[in-house]
Amino acid sequence: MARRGTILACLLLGCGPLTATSAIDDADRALVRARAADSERYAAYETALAELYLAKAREEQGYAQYGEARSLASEAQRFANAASRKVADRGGEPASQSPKRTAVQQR
Amino acid sequence: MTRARIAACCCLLVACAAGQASRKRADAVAADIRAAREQNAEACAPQELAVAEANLRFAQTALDRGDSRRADAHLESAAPAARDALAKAKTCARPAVAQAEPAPAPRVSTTDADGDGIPDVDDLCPDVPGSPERRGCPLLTDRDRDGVSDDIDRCPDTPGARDNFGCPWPDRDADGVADKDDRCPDEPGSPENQGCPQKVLIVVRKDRIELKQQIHFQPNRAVILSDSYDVLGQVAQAIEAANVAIRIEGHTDNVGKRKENLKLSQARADAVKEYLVQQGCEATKLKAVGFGQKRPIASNSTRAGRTLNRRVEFRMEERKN
Repeated sequence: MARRGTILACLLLGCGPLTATSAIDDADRALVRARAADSERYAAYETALAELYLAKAREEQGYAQYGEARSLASEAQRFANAASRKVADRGGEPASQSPKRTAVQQR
Repeated sequence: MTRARIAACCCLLVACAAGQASRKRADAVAADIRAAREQNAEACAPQELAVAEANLRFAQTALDRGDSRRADAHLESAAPAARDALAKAKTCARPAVAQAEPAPAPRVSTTDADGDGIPDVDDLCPDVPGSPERRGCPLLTDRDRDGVSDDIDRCPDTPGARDNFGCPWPDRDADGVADKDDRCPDEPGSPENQGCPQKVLIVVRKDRIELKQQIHFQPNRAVILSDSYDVLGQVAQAIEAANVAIRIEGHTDNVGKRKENLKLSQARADAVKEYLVQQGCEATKLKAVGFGQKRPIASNSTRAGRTLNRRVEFRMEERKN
């Protein structure tokens, strides 16, 4: 019964907010991973684009423009992944590593 | 009513004009971005280029939606960023790639400076005459004639093995057996004995040759075991050196029949004689006699005693002059 209610609510309200939030979260995680691999140093262009698109996605989500927000978040994730790949190609830290880094590592 | 229509028309015109102006600004920013990209702004000013491109894209989206106010806000960010990117890209333009002078084509020399018949291009030693087999280099000298040329011979004046870089193998005891093959490198010994001193297995007495190691046979047979060859070799040498006639006596313990023991002791004495003849002793000097169990030297009641009784003895019969 509860499941039916959820489905009905989704149909009535649309899943826009959920999918946009999910896309934004994914992009955010991808960006964190890229930054952990020092992408701001080795892939500044891609990282900056990812940040800008992610900020814009959040802004659009605030205006309830969920479709646009999801699209921008996807773009942000693509740029973040590109930044990670670029760092990996340079022989830097693998992008899949934990974002936790010590002060010594960051030097 | 008419005033309201006029006001609406004015608003539309203003909005259209504003949209047009924004598009023109966006085009200008896009041109700046293109110019900056061409000047390698992605490497020189990545932040600025990213800000310009992203905001331009956001502005264009806003314009498509008819939201010129937000488009303008984005263009406000994009335009200075694009200008900065262009300026930075100009200052850090791609380094001019210097065109290296093409290397001159190699000149193939057909001269032969050392006159050895091999052109200098093929001659590994173009200034020294040499044979074609050695690609124009001279035969290397070998002063000690050990087959290892002096250039790789660590002992060029002492003949030595190739495996030891032309140096002789060390021989601490100077017995002629190199230490690597010498089982007793600190005691001189013959090569036959792998560099170890010969063990003295016999003592030549006045009337007999005393053995320090008994001769061994296969059980109940007259076949000498190989561990007795050394002692028999020394016996053969002693016989030759002493130039005497020898009586080879075979003895057994008292186990078994008397006749059988007699027969076995004779057969063993004969086997020893045959071996000594093979070693170079004259057969005429040797006489083989089997005594069976008649002459024990120890008690036959113990195992040790019986072992002592099973023996071969060498008795000197007479001295020949």
